[in-house]
Amino acid sequence: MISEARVKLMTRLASYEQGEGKENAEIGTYFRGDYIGLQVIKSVISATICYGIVIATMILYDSESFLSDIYKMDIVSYAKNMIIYYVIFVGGYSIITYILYSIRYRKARIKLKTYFNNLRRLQALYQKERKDRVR
Amino acid sequence: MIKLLEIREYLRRFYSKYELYIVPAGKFIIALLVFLLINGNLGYMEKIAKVPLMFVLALACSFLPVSFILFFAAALILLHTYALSMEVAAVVGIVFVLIFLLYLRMSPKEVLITMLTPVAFALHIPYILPITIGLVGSPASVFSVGSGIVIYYTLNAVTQMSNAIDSLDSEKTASKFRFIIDGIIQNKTMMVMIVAFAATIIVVYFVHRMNIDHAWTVATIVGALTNALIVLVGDLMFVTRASLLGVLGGTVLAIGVVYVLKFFMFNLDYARTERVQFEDDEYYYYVKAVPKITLQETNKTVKKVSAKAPVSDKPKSGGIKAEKTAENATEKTAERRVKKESSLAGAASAVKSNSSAAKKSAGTAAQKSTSASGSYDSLSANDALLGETRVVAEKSVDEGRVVKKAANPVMSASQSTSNAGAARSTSNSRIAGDLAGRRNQGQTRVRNDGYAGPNPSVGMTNGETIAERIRRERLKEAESIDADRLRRQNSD
Repeated sequence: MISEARVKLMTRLASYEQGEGKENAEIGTYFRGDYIGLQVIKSVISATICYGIVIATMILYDSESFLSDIYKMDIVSYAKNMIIYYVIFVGGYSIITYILYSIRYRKARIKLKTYFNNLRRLQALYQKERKDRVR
Repeated sequence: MIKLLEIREYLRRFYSKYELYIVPAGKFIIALLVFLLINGNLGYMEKIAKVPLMFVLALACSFLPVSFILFFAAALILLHTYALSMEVAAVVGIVFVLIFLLYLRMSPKEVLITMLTPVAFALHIPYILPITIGLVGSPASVFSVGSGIVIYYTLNAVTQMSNAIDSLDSEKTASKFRFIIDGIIQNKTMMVMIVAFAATIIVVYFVHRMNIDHAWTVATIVGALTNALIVLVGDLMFVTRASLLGVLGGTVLAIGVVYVLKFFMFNLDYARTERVQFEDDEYYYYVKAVPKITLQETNKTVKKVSAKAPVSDKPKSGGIKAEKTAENATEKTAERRVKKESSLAGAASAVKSNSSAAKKSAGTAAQKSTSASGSYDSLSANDALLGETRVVAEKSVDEGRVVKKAANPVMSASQSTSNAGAARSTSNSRIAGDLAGRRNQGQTRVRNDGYAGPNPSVGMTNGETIAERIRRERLKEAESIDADRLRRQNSD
């Protein structure tokens, strides 16, 4: 026999799983610290690559004067400035990533909680049906 | 005004009904528009600047995710700029890589906004964007709009400098490189636009969420004014040569367009038809969830099949009518009017892959139905039920109810499956089956506890217990025996 309440619930669960459930499921497999840490590491790598591209572009942009001044300028202080800018850039980007993914993780956990509650309701419906059949 | 409301309701019904076709068609149109604009403004590589190729690409994009439109657009732009100059392609490639690594990695869903921003600029209607996005999106959309503005002004700079780049000596790579980068970085208009759009989106977002009357209208006007003010102030500060008439005209046009969009698209829940599939131990389920639409129409089109259920031996016409009605109802689920105002809910329709008992019994019920009794008025609009089965099964429920009243329980398995009180359905069907044919002067009573014996209430007076009944019957017997003895004595 088909239980309409069970089919309704299963429909809603399947609809959720097809849509945002996929992303939330991935989030749900991680602890908060692991998930945010992973995203921050990815952001650091992306920011490092971007910083490298920007520095290369700047050097190409001003290549003539750079090559002519390279023997005159203080390389240590130049490198120090580059590192400070790098730390500021990557640090700022990591902080934005941390905040953004903390919010996403919190929202995903709420939806996952609802999803698991619905799964428990489904299990309760199955148990009730089994009892009714035994009677 | 009422006509406009009806048009809006029609559009909502149209969208919910044909959503499967509308979304790919929308993607096709957007992709085609993007590709044609790229070819029109940047068509340096003649081999790929062909309309049929754009049609084929757009057709491919209609079936792929939205991010593929941006991927193909980026590839087209790089090919065209490579045909112009390798340095230009390198600079444009660097811009794309930076945008992807820094922003699109974190918000892949906002690819559409990033793509529509240059399109809006190219079509000379840019001021609609920040207001619309502020009403619909979130403050985080500032970055996607900013990315779109950077892409547009980069390509605009390439278009404007294409002649100068061509004229430069091909050996002077560094000077070409510097020339292009200067054209992008020193573009004050781009900076002013980014600041103006960012401020507009944030202002519109926060104003439309305030608890004031006509928040959306106020947000639209305040956003438009903010945008115009920042653009004009930026023009004064940086001499961007923005046309005052163009800015004001564009702002007024933006307010009008956003108002129209707001009427037709915002404040509405364009719930989509969803298709899901799952299985349990017994069945595979292929479910189509069709959203119900709140309808307020003057003309009711409730289909009343028949008022009463006379007991007759002519099931065919009623059955056919029920089947036809069921088919019509299944096809027009979204348009069915139950009552004047039905609540918004998701109605699920299920088509079971395996020909199950319910399906067979639904067909049996339709055939066996003495008359397609009951009307759609009695159907519940609250629960999400299975479409085809629901229609046919609910017909059976109605038939069952009417038949019960007539003390003629014509039972089918579908009645048990479709009964809202599913827990008692099995017992009801057994009892009803047992009682089929028993007519105890209309005293047939369906019990929910599985008792299928004779009705113990028959012959009892009100309030009488069984013991009293036995005593009464014995007294009657004794009186009848005494009466017989007296008669015999008198005859003797």
